[in-house]
Amino acid sequence: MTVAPATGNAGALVFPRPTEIQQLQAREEGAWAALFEREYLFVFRNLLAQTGNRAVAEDIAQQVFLEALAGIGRYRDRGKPIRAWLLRIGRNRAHDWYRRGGREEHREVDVPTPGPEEALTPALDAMAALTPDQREVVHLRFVEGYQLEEVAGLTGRSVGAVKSLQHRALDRLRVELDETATRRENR
Amino acid sequence: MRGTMMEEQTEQDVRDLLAPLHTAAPAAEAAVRARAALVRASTVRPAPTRRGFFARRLFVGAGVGLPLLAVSAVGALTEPGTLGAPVALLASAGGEVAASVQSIAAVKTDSAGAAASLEAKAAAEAAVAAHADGNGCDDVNPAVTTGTPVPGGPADCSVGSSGEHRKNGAAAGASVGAGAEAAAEAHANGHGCDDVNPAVISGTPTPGGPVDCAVGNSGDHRKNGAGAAVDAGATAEVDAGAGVGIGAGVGLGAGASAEAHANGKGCDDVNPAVISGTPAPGGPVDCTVGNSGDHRKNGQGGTDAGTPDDGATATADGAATVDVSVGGSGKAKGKKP
Repeated sequence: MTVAPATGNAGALVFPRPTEIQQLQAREEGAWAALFEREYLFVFRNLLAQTGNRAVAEDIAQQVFLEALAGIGRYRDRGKPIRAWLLRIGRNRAHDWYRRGGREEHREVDVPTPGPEEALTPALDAMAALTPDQREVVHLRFVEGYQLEEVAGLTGRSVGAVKSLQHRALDRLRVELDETATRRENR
Repeated sequence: MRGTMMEEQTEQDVRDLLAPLHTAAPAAEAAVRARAALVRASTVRPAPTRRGFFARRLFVGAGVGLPLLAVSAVGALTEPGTLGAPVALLASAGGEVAASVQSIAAVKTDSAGAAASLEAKAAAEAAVAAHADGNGCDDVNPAVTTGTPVPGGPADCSVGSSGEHRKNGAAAGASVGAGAEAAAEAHANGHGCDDVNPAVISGTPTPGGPVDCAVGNSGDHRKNGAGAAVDAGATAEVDAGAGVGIGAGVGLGAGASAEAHANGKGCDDVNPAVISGTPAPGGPVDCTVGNSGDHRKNGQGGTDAGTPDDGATATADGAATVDVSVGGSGKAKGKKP
């Protein structure tokens, strides 16, 4: 199996069809494989932005899908895309990882590798300066390219709440960008 | 306007900063591993979360019972004084205790029955022995050791009280032999035993039985005495050993009463107590036929009211019941054959 890296916008939100939910609840292998192909990269990037660690993001992404499989019987279609459900599961698992002090622990042992990983480090450092809620909104708005209304629908927040989170996050990131520019000038 | 432009610039800077995140991809091995785990998990049927009625009850029962059993077992294995050991012992010995209680109750019941029978037998034997002299048990009773018989039965005599006591005493004495002979001899003169009674040695028969006469009281006493006066000797000698002296006396007395009524005047004219020669209302005290009007009528036609055969039969029955129950059965059957 090959997972093609996302190259652009996540695209329009996919709302599940009733037959798809029935197939997922029937634990059909094809339906779950299709869901994995469609949502795995999104879940992984969101967890990477939250945790700042690739390996941890991969492990938690796998747990998210396994937990979704275990809880698909309790899933109720409320007019939201399945991505929103997976996003909530990933948020809870990442929160558990935070409570265990995982972010501080892994930042000490995480050694950045040269190449693409080196270019990823400034982005992860900038995201580390935000709160989990701000990271979620920033990821959906500026990494995945969703509109405010779509972000509100995915996160279960109001548009105003999303705007507020985005505003505070940009203020914080602006400071980070200024400090980064100052460091570059000092070099 | 300037703020909006700064904000748009900031947004663009952030997009550029976070662009590497957009191109980030997991390791191929991690993606394959995650997909394989998901497919494998989707093919495994999960355990049913909704358990049935009995499954829930079994779960609750196991949750309650198993800890108790574990505590009991540990307590029994570790120390005998812990809480678990007595609980286990009680639980195991519960059935044995119940069985023991039932057996004890059964033994107690049997013991009570045996004791009661033994006490009754001993009392009967003592009463018979105490009444052997024909004076009842008054003269030998530890509670009344005056040597003089007194009216009313003693407190510890199992034979009976008052009149019954004396009658039974006489019966018991008759069964032994000597008492029956004495009673029969005392009544041999047809005056009952009033004239020879040690307590009332007036020589004149008086109404009411003497205190030491075993035959009976009052009217019954005299009637029996009169019956015994005819030919009590032979009968007593024949049946005394079997304890039938009283019954024989009653039967013979009935025959004498029949003879006294042969003149159609009842027994008033020949009764020793009312020797007026003229039948008077009210039956005499020693007539066994009846009283008052009934007495005379019966006397006229009372030849079959008391026959020697009936008396003999009554005697045999009375003797048969004396040994078992010294009480009134012998008396009743002896009086009314």
